[in-house]
Amino acid sequence: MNHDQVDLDMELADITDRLLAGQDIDAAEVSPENETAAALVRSLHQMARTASTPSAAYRTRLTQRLQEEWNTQGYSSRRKSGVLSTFPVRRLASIAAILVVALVGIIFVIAYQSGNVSTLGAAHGPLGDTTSLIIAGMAIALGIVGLVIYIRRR
Amino acid sequence: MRVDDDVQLAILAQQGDREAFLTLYNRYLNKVYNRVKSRIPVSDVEDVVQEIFIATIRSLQSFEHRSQFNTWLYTIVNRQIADYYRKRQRTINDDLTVTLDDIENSVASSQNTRENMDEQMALKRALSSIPEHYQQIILLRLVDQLPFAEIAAQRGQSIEAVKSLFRRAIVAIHEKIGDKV
Repeated sequence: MNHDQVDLDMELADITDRLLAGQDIDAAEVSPENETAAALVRSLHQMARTASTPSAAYRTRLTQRLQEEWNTQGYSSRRKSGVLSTFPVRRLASIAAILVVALVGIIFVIAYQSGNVSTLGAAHGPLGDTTSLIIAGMAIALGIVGLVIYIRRR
Repeated sequence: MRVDDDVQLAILAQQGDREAFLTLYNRYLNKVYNRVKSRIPVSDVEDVVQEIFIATIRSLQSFEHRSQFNTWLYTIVNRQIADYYRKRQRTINDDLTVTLDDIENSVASSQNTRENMDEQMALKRALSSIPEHYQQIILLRLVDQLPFAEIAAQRGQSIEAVKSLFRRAIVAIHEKIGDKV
């Protein structure tokens, strides 16, 4: 970074600090390269200074509206403790996804060990044993995911 | 420390503790209000602030405790302000309405006041149209009045880098606004 540039950065920061501290800045103190920037800081400071606090009436209205929203979102009936309610949604979704993959894997292993894999895709009634097992496993996994989401949203 | 405190309150709020949420709301209402007021016409500030806190409740579960609570909250503030300008662009004949809105809000609308309001509107628009990191640095210093050192600590940057960013942000506003102010 150019040395002059650094000086200008420091000067503008100093002008800003002084304006915020309520001091007046004499135009002669500001280097020509910073004149426009200093004027803008002054305008922005002026604008920020006219900012005010919300009225008591508005605050009351807003608090009431937010309490309604809070109840609508079902927070009031939410369990105040417990692992599920403290977990962020993305983490829960990841856990649920891992659970589904793990269950499907386990079912495959069991089916393989019991020698049923060869029946996969073979004509074995409308659904083969392994296929039924997989579907049942996935249904259980989906049930668990559903339950987690239900508890989470309650 | 206050920031940790915010995160603890946010966690409690996520667990359904309404008082924790209200504490955060009371803590940030003035800051959010002033941030919004410095960026949109006065007549719409209250509606937008309400939308921001409603959005905060609705997305409370997405706060993941990794970031500071105020960083997360100000992201919502920025999103709502951007939405506000997007909707406004779609539905309203911009400049004329902005001026009328502000005039309606001004009881004593002298020529001076009007010029002042035009200037402020131009500034608000420019501030809302520069890149977000520029907006943040200006708002942190001039609206929240955080010292440069504290901003540097919060952003994990050197104080020199923050001061340089501040000046670049001001120059960016000047580029948007020209010589209107």
